Amino acid sequence: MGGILIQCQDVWKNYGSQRALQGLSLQLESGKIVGLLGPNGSGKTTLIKILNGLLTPDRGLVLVDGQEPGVYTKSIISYLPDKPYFAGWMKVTDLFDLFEDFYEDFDREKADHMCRALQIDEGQRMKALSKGTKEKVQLILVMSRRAKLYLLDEPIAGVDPAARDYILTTILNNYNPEGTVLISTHLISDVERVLDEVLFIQYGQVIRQALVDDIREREGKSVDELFREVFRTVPFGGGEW
Amino acid sequence: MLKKLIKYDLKSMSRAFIPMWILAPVVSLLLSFSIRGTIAWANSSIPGRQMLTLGNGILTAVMVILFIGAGMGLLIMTVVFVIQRFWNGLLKEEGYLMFTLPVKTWELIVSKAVTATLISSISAVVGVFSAIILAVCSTEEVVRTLAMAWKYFLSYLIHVDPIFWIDLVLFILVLVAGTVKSIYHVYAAMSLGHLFQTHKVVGSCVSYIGISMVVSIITNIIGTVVSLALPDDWTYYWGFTYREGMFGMLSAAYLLYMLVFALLETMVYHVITERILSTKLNLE
Amino acid sequence: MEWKLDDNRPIWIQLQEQLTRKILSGWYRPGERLPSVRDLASEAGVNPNTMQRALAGLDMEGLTVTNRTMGRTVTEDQMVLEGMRVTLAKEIIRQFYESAAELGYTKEQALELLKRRDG
Repeated sequence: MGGILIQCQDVWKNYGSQRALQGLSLQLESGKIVGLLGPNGSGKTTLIKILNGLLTPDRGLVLVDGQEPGVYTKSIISYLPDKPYFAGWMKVTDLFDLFEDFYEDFDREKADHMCRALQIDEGQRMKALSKGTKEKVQLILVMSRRAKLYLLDEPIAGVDPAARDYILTTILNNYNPEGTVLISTHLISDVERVLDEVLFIQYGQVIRQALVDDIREREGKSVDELFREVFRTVPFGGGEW
Repeated sequence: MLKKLIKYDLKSMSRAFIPMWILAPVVSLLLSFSIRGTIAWANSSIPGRQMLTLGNGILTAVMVILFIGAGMGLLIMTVVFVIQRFWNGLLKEEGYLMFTLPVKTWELIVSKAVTATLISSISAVVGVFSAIILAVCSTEEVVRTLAMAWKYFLSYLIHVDPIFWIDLVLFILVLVAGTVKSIYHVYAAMSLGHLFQTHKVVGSCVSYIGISMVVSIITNIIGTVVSLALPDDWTYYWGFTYREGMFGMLSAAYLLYMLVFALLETMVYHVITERILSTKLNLE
Repeated sequence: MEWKLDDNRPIWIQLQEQLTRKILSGWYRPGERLPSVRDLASEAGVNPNTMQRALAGLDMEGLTVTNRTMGRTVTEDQMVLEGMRVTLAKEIIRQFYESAAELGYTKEQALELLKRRDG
């Protein structure tokens, strides 16, 4: 395990009057698989987009591998967005060419190999591919890089359980072990086995950061159970329990 | 990195344009033939020529519509593409890809601008070329007239003032700089529109108009100041105008002014665009 | 052999238990080289760090030996294997008595029941 890879200090972000991050602070080391867990609208996507430079924070310090988001941090971050971002005319090979051209850590052979294993025709245009195949191509692109930081925004949302297993196995088998993987999700029971550490995020703040096995050891419960406890909302009309 | 970006932008833009660039001259060639046919039929003495002329006339009319359509299409497509490649390519989902590439923001913008300039220039050249084809091939007379004009032009060039060449080069530079400036004007407007929390499109349009107004106020002020400051017969002393030559009226000084102003405008737009996308980017 | 994991207990402890059982049952033979951390982790669907921790636990117990050229192999020391077998057996017996006690049997009665069933 290495040194500090991500450092956020008192980061604020609003969308107009809507608050997304409210003084979020956190530190993450390299060499870990970390779950970014929180209900919808808690700020998970905002945090990820601030880390990779798609959003500019209103205030606060953000450092990735010691540098503010910029050309260097982008060269070491591999990002899986919450929705596909391709231009429809591009072929799978065009995308691989693009990644090969711009990212030094992109392993073309690995990408080709994964495509063959999944029987994806690299000559196909993106717009001709099904939604599921597009997501697979995206995953191949992201996991074929030997990045220092993988930012995976809801990689398993909206796919069937078999595809979930496939995605998680792909991540486990292909990530760079010296790098850190940050997975945002609200489907905790599906991912908790692969995690080292979890960050619970709510109202734009980290409310808990813990090692997964510590939670199990000390509290004798799964991360999923703890999550349900922490984020339990009283149903309307229920009053105090 | 900039080279690689331009390569990708060119690839994405030229895909849609190459068919148009081929289509436009072909349509004008076909059109010129049908015009020629109509004239030939009308002048002939074959029985039933009215019907044939009418038929050919309809065909010609269709071709004219096609030609105008192709020309308009090329123009509109160019404008739409300049806007769309920036808006969709940087400020929507595709921006996720572009802004996570390890490149500087200015490289992304310059790449888009260079590509858009190239596409617009080629479209303009193709448009002019198509019009010439249409004119040249339509009638024998036009061919003859044009040939004479060309001959006259060549003989004229022999004893032309060397300053003509400066004018010509300046004129072309002004055209190109004007294109770049107009493209950047749109970029700056869209970047300003991106700052709006909601109604970004409306914001962009308002910004575009706003910028135009500011620029026109500034140019008016400069124009007034300059015309007041200079003596009425300044052009005489400078010896720039009323020279012989096709650009006699557009004196080198004025062309130079237009060029410098366009470059200045471009720089301001670039700085606005770059600063906004570097420090205020919000791809929600 | 399937991996059975329960999310309520530390995963690495469960992995270590199951690996121990695999070694004692002869799934992995003495002297045999274990798959890499990554392969094992992928097979079990867990994080390599977690698997690493479980394997380090096996090293601590002496059930596996890490050696630079061979990687991680199962120990050939029968004493250690036997010792671990006894430890696990004792634990099972302890649990048996405990469960029997909950049903109201004394140790002797429980043992008597066990013997009768065997015969």
